Amino acid sequence: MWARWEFGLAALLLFPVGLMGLFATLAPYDPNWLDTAARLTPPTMSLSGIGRHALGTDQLGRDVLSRMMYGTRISLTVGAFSVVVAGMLGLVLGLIAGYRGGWVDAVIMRVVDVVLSFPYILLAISIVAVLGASLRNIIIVFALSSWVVYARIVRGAVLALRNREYVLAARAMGCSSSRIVFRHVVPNIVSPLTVIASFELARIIVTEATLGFLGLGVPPPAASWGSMLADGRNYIQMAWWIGTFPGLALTATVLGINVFGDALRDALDPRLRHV
Amino acid sequence: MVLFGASLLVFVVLRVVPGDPIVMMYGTEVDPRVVAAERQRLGLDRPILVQYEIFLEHIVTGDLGESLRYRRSAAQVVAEALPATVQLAAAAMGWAFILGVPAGIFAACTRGGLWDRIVMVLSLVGQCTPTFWLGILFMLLFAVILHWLPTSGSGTIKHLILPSLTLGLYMVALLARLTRSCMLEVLGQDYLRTARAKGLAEWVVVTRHGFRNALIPIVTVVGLQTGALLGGAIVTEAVFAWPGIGNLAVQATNTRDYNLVQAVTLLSAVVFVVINLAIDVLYTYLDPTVGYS
Repeated sequence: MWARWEFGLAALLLFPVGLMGLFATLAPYDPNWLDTAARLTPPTMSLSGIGRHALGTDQLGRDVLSRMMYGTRISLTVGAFSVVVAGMLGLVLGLIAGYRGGWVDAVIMRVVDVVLSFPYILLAISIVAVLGASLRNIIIVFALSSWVVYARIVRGAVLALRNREYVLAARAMGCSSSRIVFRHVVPNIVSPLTVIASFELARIIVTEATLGFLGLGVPPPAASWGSMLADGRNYIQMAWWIGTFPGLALTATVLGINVFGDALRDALDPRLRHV
Repeated sequence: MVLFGASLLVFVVLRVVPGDPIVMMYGTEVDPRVVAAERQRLGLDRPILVQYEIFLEHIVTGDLGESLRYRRSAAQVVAEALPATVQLAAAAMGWAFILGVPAGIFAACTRGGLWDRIVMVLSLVGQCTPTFWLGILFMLLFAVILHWLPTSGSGTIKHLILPSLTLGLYMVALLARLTRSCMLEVLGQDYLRTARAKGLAEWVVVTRHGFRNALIPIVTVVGLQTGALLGGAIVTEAVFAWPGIGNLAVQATNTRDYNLVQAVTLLSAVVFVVINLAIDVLYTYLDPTVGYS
């Protein structure tokens, strides 16, 4: 299963990004150090080896490569934490909704519908407006807007499994509800959940960069890809490198995650194609 | 029902905002009596529940309050910015259909060939590339390097091309893949074999019989993606300084302009729900086997 070529492609795309994030502290320069003498210098990769600033500097003299490496950390941190929190929240609420049924189910599903009726970015923007922009708040933002996806799927799965024979048998044996849920229901929904989680991760990373681009993400001087792209846009006429490299990193990351998710879905269960 | 919940959510979220809008408007060195008077005028000193009740009443009569920054009716501000966004979205959809659907059909018909592979790979990349980076790239390529098109602003068709292409590319990719898989499903069906056996020309078989049936899920997905289109519009408008409601929403959030953000968000929710309803109706029309009791 793991020999599928898509996994190789995903690894190829994600490996450099992961390395950048892990070894960010080995970056050539401090990401916030202002080399005012070297503002807006172009990338200096030449045949004689890496120059002073491999990917150039931005308008304040900060090294693009170093900032990009630290930006990886921000994106991946936000993504990972958000997915975990949203996943747990969605899992619990979906399980409750599916298993209990009745008005609890109705209420939870109404909330899900309401949250889903907003364009994702607009919702994120609104919540940031309320909470203010910081790393912790951004994670909260994404957890709040993302849990609904999991809840829906989990609830559907629970509803489908609720009346299967082995669940009824377990009940007849006198198993408590929570035991039934954990031993019988949950293992069956792990596959679709993992696939969903990987796609959500990609979506969250992109949206985090979008928020950063709009000025609503992790606040400066933190080096997030989004804010680098915003700078890149402003200086596009004179310094194309500020925006291009973080953008490449972002695209590679998202592409890698999506390819991985696709491959995972195909490998785990081709019937999940509709997911 | 959903709309009610949406309005509640919007109202609550915005009222919890820590920043005081009056202070934002006037700055901190203002006479407190002026602040109080303004607050009373705008009704912000009444109890929360009363505010919500008034809010609902106003919505029903079409009054979405006054934009705290523009000092005009919020509904009016939104209405003025709306056509720009609609224009952008329509153009994006246009690209999606012009480029995406034929690409998908073509890929399906030449299944397994080089073109098929190329289309699939390009559409995968297109779906994963973040919109704003794509916009920056396009800007870089077409405006800065080639000088064919302007970098930002609006007004002429030339100004429309880049933003709409940026916004639409995701849809192009999505439609290409979707059309391809739908066509593949349909192309193998028996009724097409019959049509061919009848002696109809191949292209008639493909378009008249094949495509029409592939259209159903395509239309559904297109409708569902309209919500995503709105989200993408926010970003695209920011990149290209396009004066639509996306740009408005971001500005309004930054200046804590409650009423305006409320207005935009409500509008989006409404649009989304309406479109979903329309899709449902269209679905029953396109596919006679689906019926609602």
